[in-house]
Amino acid sequence: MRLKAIASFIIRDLKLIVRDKSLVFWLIAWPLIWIFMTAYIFVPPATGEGTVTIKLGVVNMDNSQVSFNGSLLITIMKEVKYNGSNLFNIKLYSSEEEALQALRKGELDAVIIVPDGFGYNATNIMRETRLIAYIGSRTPQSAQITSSIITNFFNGFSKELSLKRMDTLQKIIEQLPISEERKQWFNISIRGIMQPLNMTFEKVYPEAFETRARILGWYTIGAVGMMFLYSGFNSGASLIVSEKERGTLKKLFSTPLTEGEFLTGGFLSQLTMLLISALILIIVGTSPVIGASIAFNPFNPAHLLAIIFIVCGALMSMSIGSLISLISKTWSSASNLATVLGLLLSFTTGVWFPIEWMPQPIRVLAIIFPPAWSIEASRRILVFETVMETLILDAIKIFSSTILLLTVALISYRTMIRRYSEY
Amino acid sequence: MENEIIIVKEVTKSYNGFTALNSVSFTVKSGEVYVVLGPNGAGKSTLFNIIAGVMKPSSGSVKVLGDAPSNPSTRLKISYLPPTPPLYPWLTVMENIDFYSSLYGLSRNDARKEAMELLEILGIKDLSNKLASKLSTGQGKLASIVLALVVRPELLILDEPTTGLDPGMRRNIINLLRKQASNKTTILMATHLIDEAEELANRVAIMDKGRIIAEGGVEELKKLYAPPAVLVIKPSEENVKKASDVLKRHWSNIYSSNDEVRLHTENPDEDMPKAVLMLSENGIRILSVSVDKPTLEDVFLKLTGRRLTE
Repeated sequence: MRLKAIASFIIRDLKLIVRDKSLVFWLIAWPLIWIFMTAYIFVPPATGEGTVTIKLGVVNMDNSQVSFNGSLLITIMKEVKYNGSNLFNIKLYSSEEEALQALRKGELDAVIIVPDGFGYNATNIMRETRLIAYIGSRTPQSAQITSSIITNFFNGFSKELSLKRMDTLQKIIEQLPISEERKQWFNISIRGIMQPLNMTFEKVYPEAFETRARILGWYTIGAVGMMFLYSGFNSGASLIVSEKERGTLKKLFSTPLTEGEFLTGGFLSQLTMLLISALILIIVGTSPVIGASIAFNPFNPAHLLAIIFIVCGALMSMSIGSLISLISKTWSSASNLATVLGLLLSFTTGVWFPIEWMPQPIRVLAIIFPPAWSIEASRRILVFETVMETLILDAIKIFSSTILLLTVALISYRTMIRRYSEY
Repeated sequence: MENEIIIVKEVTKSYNGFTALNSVSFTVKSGEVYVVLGPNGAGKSTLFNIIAGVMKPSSGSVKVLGDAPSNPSTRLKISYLPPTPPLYPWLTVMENIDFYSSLYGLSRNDARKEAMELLEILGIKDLSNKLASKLSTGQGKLASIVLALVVRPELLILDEPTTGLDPGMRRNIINLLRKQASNKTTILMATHLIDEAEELANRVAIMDKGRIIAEGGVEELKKLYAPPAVLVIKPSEENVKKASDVLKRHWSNIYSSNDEVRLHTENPDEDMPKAVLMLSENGIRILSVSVDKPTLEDVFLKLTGRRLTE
């Protein structure tokens, strides 16, 4: 195999990057658009430090003349802060019907009805206190968020109420003419009844998702994966049919170029383009403009393995592209099919969107789709900083599927060369 | 046999039930300009693809420079130019030349030096840094000729190299090919242009429907198949068919095209006044009458009853 002949393909195609505007768009601009959208729309600056305010309509029908009542509840709710801002923006309504009308119009996130006797019941240790909540849905996500916030708020409120009642009961028990041992037993039992589960919740993100920068790192690797899928599919699918339609295939095979040199040269030149594009995406992604954080240390073997995984991802995508070329009769049909399929798979296999967002049946795609493995493993190394020891199984899976897919590509390309040279 | 550069034996090529080549045999000697003449669809391109090693025959054998044409060491001495210019549109003319010459293992400097000389001969030196996508069809053809010649092949295989070119460009290419031939480059060329074949060929193979129907030197073929003279009558356009029908009442060797009727004759002095009189009597207006020497077109007419360019 002559290196000069192979290098000539790489030089030839590198010139294409700077001279073909559509290629520049798909290789660089399109994934950058997604990174920018992620950085400034989906994960905007100050993510995690943002505020949430629920537009809450309240109908206070409580007339209890006790120390704690509906009016006091509203005052407390008005003062609840989250990240320095009021959690509830409260508007009072005189009737349930009026409040629900506003909720239906999308003017409110939720409505709370405070029934008459609320204060009396709340301060009486033997009575059940009732509240009614209506959750609206201004956007597809808002109902879930509102419901979660209101549930958490009133769960906390209910817990506080229980503790207050417990204190009152304990004071009563203290007055009873029974032994200290018996009083102790009552106190523990009452605490158990009032608070059967005393659970504390604390949010623990993976270390990688502690900051916006790391989230953007996750998406930057995703953008590389997405570009690999549609551009890799495309270049794999177009490798031979483009030469045929340009009228260069027969000329190439009349030169001393061997089939092996042609396929190696063509594959390496496409791989070089994909890797240059990936490098540009990572450089822009980690630049201050985007602010993604990716862990990379050239002396860390795991990080070098991530680069090999990325190369494997590109090779596997191109190999799958070769299969697309087998079922496409023309360059444009191969290219269109490759782009559509590549984008579709990048959105459904966990490459761009987290796989957890997908319905269960679609998650199977991520499990059986080898290029997604390489992107996921690269992320685990470069974003989650997984150690080398945990990557052995991934490496075996990724290397063996790369070899398998390259073999399939070789067979399909040879089939195509035979097919095209017959006419 | 040592000086036989191409040996084609009983080559047949069929695909999808269609026989593109049917038992074709011929040889081309070293330094010869061998022209394959035939209409579109005669099987010339299929034959050239097989000789260039990019297609395999269904049966029969081909040897080029003593070896199989698919052998890379044989290909090193061959340069094949397909009918469509094999240029990469995003590369300049010179970058295309760099790319192809590197496949032959040539150094960039040597290839560029040779290419500049050839571009100058063809009058397109100023196009060397122009993108191939910006070239006209003719300019693309000329640049492709340079691609083919820059590697200094022992055997040059050209499939319709001048099709679609204006007369000036064609003249440049023919002159360049004559120069190559004088440098002992063996040239195998396909064309459907009579004058090109007559001007360049040492030997001509006439192909029709996948077969070689005649082969030999230009004069030899004319002697064997063409009449001593051809009476060329040009009636007004609407009367060509009528004129042909009238003349066929008396002569059998009548061939008509869109604008003329050709009468193959042994005795033009006697036949010309007779033909003119017959046409006049039938009310057919004649624009011109001439007695021409036969061409390879007349050989083809004689052999197939059809014109080459039909």
